[in-house]
Amino acid sequence: MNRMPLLLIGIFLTFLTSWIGLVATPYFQIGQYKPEVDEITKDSVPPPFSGQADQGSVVYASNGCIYCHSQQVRPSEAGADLARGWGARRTVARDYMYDKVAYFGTMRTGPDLSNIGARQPSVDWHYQHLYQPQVVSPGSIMPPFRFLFEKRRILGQPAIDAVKVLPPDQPEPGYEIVPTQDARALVQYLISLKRSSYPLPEAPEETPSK
Amino acid sequence: MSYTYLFIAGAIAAASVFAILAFYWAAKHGHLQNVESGAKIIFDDGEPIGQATDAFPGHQPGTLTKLRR
Amino acid sequence: MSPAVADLPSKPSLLESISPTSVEPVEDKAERVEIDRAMRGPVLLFFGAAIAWLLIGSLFALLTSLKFNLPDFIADYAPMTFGRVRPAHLNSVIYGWSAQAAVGVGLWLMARLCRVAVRHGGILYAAWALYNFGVLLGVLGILSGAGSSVEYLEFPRWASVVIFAAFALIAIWTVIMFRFRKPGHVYVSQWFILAAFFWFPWLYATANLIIFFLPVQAAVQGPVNWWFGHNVLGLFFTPIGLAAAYYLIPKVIGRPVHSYYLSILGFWSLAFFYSWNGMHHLIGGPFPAWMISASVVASFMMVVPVVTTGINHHFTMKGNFGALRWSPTLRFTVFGAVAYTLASLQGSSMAIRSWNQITHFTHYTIGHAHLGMYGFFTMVMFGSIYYIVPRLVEWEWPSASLIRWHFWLSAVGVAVMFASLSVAGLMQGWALENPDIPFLASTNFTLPFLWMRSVSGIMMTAGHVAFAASFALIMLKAGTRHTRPTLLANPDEAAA
Repeated sequence: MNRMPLLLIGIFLTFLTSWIGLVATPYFQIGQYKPEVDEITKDSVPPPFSGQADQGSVVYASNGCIYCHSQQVRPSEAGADLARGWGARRTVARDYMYDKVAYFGTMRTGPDLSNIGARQPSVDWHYQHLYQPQVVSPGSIMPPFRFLFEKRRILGQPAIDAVKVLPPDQPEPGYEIVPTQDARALVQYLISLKRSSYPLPEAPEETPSK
Repeated sequence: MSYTYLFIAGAIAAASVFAILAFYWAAKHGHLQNVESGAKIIFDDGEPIGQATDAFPGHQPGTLTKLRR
Repeated sequence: MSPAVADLPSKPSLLESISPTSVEPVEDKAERVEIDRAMRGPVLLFFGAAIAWLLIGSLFALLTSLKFNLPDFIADYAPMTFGRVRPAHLNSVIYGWSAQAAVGVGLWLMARLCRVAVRHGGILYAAWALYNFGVLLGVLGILSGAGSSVEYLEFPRWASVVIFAAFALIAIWTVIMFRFRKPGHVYVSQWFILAAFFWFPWLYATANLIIFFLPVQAAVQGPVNWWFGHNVLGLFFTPIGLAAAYYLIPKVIGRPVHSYYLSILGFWSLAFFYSWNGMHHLIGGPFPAWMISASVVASFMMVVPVVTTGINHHFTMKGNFGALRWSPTLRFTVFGAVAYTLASLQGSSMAIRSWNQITHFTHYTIGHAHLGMYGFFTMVMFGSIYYIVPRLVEWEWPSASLIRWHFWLSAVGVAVMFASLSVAGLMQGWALENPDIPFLASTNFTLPFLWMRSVSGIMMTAGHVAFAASFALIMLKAGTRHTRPTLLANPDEAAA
């Protein structure tokens, strides 16, 4: 008449199996990476993030870039990612070993950003694009991130990293648009995203099949 | 890596053995008998089987079809 | 039924003659009223706050949806940028609305099925306050830029701690209630609630610890994130929704569930297979193939509990579908039960690799999520609240037409939303699969359907306003007090 012990043990056990399988096991299997060091150049593969890029990943998180952009390149048998030029090979677990939090993403309203630093290495391009996405990329539905920039009166020389704003958003004469700390960090993060732009032993570069 | 697979296999085996033992123990102690009676415990005198307990405000509940018993 | 209830104790119990195994206390009607009175405060507070969060979440949802078509709309104010209002929407409706509705329904069902009133109910008031403080903190955190962008776990960690503490209190109090239950059988709904209240804290603690407090390498966060993200739906919201459906459907039509045995089979297969779901969100991702395969298999095996449950509810209802006309509770609950079957079968199909390749990363998944969390879970919660609140307030719902408006706006709204997002997602998915189609086209295909989604969102929000109005009016005891029929059971007692 009392089925409670069986019920409670069952509730615990069924869940424990998945905890062991999907939490504990990956911790041992893909949670213990050490960098590969190139024999000749002594460079670490993958390359670690700079401090500013690390801060940029926080800006990336706080403004929810992940809700439109993924950071994972699927192999050619699992999608057209490589054919779209989003990477030279699929991404593997080791590629994320330096991320504090990895933004794999589940939505592609915008393109994948795993290798955006290789595709768009220009800091100026990123500033422009964040400031006026529709002008830089006509037809895009990315929201503008003008709140990551400041309008400033030009005193003496214009700032080196002032945004080269295109019409129609240009500020009035005598003013310039400059990136805030957050924008600078974010763009540093973006241009350092070159996740599958280098070969790894476990993931050779692929030629995309069309 | 082989350590990981051993761990998985061991965990699965242990869980299975434990589950079978628990099941056996439960069956032996009569936990699995008279299962269907459990369906009726939500009914009682005040709200017996065959009586509707909800309707739009101001409306009477419609008739229910007879139970096939 | 005769309304004369005063001398009930002397009558032989109908139940006793059907089921000799049960030991029924005789004065069950009076007992029910007593238990309901003890639960009134905490349960109504959870419902009230849940409805407030539902409205807030709906506004965030509308804003999010409009921003797809109007990217410049309120774009220069950082807290209202797309990437913040979207998680604000998700977290207000998940933690604010859904979880609190689940707690309210779970507590009430537990008390009623255990036939005990809660002990030291004051703790539940504290838990309620703490919980809502946590959610408020979390949503404000997201809006101010402290969100983590880890899906379903966006709340900044300080808010997560508060939420965990509050939920642990609730769970402990539920278990205590269960400990002090009256002797007799335990109904399957209690299994679901007990399991859900045990699994959720475990899930939430594990995911938060591993991702934020003691961060592991980022690659492990992916599996843990989706183990949490899928299981919070499958092992918290789904069991609560099923607990309510397994109680309400038989109860409203006065007929025991078709097969109790099937419901038990459904419980165990859900517990075992659902817990292994989640990795199919990572197909093609940088993770070991065995994990993804395990989840694909488990996802597909979900057909077992889903079909079991679907068959069971169908045969319970069989012959009484006419009751959908006159019972608001049944209408919402059965809609939810049907949506559960559809959403789950769709989910199994979406785990198949070749199909996942098209639908993953698109609006199709968003459509699926709304079919599950809204079509199933939220609709069942609506049904439950329509059943529970009159019994707690001892007053009728003030207006039948408000309830009808609510039902049709929500039902049609979610259907249109599901349809438009599914079409949008498929077009987007097929476009993404073909590298000859420029990327931008894959987004632009979706735009007309996203307008449609916004329209459906407006309908649902209007439904929520009707619902909130009903709730406010019943709390104020507006309208005339009918003696029948939502309070069917005890018109005389209530008058005394």
